[in-house]
Amino acid sequence: MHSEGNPFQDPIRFEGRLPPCAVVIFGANGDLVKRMLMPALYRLAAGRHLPPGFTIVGNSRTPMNDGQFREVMKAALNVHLSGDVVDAHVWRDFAQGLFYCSGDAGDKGTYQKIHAALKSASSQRHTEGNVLFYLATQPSLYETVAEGIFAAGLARGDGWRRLVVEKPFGHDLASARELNRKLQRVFDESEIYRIDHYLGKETVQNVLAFRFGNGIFEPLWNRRYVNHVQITAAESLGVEGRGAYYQQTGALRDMVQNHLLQVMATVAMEPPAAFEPNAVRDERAKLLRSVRIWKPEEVLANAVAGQYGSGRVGEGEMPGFRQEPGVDPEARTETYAAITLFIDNWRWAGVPFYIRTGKRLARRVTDVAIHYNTAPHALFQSDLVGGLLAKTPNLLVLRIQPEEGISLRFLSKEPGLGMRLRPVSMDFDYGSSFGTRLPSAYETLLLDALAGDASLYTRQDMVEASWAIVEPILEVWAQANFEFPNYAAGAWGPAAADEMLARRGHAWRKP
Amino acid sequence: MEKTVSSAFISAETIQKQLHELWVCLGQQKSAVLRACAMTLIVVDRGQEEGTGEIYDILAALMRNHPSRAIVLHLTPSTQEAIQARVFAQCRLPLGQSRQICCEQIEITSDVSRLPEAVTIVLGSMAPDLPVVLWCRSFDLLDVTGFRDLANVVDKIITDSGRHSEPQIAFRRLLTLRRGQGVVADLAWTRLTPWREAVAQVFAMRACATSSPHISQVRIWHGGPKASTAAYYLAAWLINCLGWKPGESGELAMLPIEIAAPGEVMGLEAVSPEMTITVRQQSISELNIRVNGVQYHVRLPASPHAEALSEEMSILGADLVYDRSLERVVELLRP
Repeated sequence: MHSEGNPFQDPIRFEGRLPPCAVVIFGANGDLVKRMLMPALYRLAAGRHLPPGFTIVGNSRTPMNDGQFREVMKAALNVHLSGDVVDAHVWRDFAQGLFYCSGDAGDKGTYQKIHAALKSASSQRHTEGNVLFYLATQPSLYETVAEGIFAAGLARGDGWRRLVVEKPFGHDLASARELNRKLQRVFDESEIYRIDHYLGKETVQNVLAFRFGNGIFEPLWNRRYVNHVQITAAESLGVEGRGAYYQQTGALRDMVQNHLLQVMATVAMEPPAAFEPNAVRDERAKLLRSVRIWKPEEVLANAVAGQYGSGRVGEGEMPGFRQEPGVDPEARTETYAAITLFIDNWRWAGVPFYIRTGKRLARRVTDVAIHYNTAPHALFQSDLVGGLLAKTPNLLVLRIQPEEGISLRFLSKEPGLGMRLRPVSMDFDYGSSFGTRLPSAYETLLLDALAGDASLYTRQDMVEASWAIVEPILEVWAQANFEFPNYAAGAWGPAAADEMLARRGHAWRKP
Repeated sequence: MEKTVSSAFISAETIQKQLHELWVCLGQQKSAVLRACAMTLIVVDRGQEEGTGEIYDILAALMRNHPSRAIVLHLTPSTQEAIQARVFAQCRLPLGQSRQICCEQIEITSDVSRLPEAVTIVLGSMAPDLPVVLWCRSFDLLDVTGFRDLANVVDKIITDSGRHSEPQIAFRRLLTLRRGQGVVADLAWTRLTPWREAVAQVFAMRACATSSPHISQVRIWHGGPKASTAAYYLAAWLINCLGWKPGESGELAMLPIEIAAPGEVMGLEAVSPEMTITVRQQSISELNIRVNGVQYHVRLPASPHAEALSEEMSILGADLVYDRSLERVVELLRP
């Protein structure tokens, strides 16, 4: 990258400048591109983050010319650029770099067209042969596209090559390894960027700043002070038209294996030696490898599956999962998963990490709650504080969405005579402390991939370590005869999940 | 929500008390409010600068990125009137939220002869333990004795040499201040960020990077008959980046465009035997860049003052690129 040695750069004022490059998007007429990728790329352009001559070559089966593709993308921006309008000046330059090559992913001719488009971009728009391929297709096409890229000689050239892959990275450990083997026939591991949009969220990145940029929290970040950790990713919505897909996947594969284990790894990992891609990823991978793998006979006591039934949410009557369009009326897919994990290392030995996720829960919230131990000596009567609060009075909550921020709960004397304690909360709210719009996860991650920074991308060893954690659970659940549905829409999940925590003297927060 | 304090005995304590009462009042409102404060921003204004009335608009824009306790010190011509102060909160309701976010503002009006007294009130009214940034709208105030007491306690001073009629004097003053004070910023430099960024992007291209050692001519066009501080900054930065040694290397020309507004940078051109790189201000909202047969545009900020201030408030540490450019520009203008 020329910008590395570019004496004109000013890292304090214009960070993250990119070298000239092109992006090839497979599945360019799809929902992901319209809702996420194109708005993210447009916003990067509007924020002056993209290099001059930046080029996007879209591909899908839909026959279109460049002009029609530009119109489709502009229409998508008008719908999905939440809270903003398309600026005519920004669009003028951005649209000049949009090109389209229609064709089937299995057709060699498609790649020849893309080859020609990239060649033209390199000579006309000075992209210097740098290409990022983005697989926004069905996962079943990943292998076909990778092979097409290879066969057309697109995998190597004058500049750098990178491949961004969307999840799922396989549906179990064996398929993840197989997918990787196929991708690595074409691209080196250092060129493969497995995107996990949770890691691109501003507040997940802020966990690193919070832990390693401050001196006061890290000393309390271990088994000596932490009682347990709860990670919650709750959705108030159901499967929203994705029933057919979701019933093949389930909550554990859809959320835990990737997003939530990555969040846990970020929260629990050791400090990296440097803030560099591989140093950070090494620590995440090491943490995931330290997670205790449940034996089959331990699974049901430490992992709870749930499926929502119908229920009243506010004024509305919500259908159960089995009544959702496209879902088998006998479906055994879990729409809720709660698991207990232990990290067998020096720092976390014996500290339970509870992870839960589900559809149609009471509200939409994603957060990490670190419950601290009580003071070593109980100076104040616990009944003045009350129940479970007395056991873990101090709570640090890292709120990932919606109201991004950090809260610290501690006890304070209630005003008045006598000594009564009550919990109070000290809040840091991202929205109020920094009023700017937070970049979307896709903006952050795309910019990183174009800049060659893989810190927030998942590496193959992390993918494999995650599958190793969830696979025993999936296998036991596949044989289990759950009585689904076991929680009503709008509730906080099945009773069994509460019992799982109660056995260790804990209770789920109501975030 | 506003509290006006006006008496012969205004002190930091009376202002603190009014602030407290302000927050109690805000807390009793129907909708919830959140007090946001990440720094103290002190604005010193003599009422003689252009756009004095815009201060509060700029502060409102700044509060989104940099929620602060803003202390605006208005200095009036000598009238021996009492110092006056008012405290108020500037609130906004973020889209889709039920809680207002409020920043407190303190406005102190004092005649210039009572500056030392007013400064003690400002010093006692700063938010504790947070960075303090001083935005000095009047370049001449930098030398006033009472003002120095204030300058000595802040983490950063932001000023603007953009309208200074004698760039050479302005640069020397800034250099002296920077050597004595530490972190000093000049908005005339900050407003060049889109220009410098555009140039940096051009030199990220392989062909341009390769040709940069061969650039032998740099031309800078400026508005008005005399080159402004901004034009000199741009020249100094460019020749620093090109590695030109003092008194040798290439040819630098500062060219006037008399019909354009004085103080503005209108264009630059860097010429090597292989290529010509041109950046021109196409309109007040856009730069046009031409290189190697490719033409593209860069949007300029819609509110350059607010955006430049916001940029500076994000940088509380040393800025080596600016330091080097300032030293180079002083060297360039040395007789």
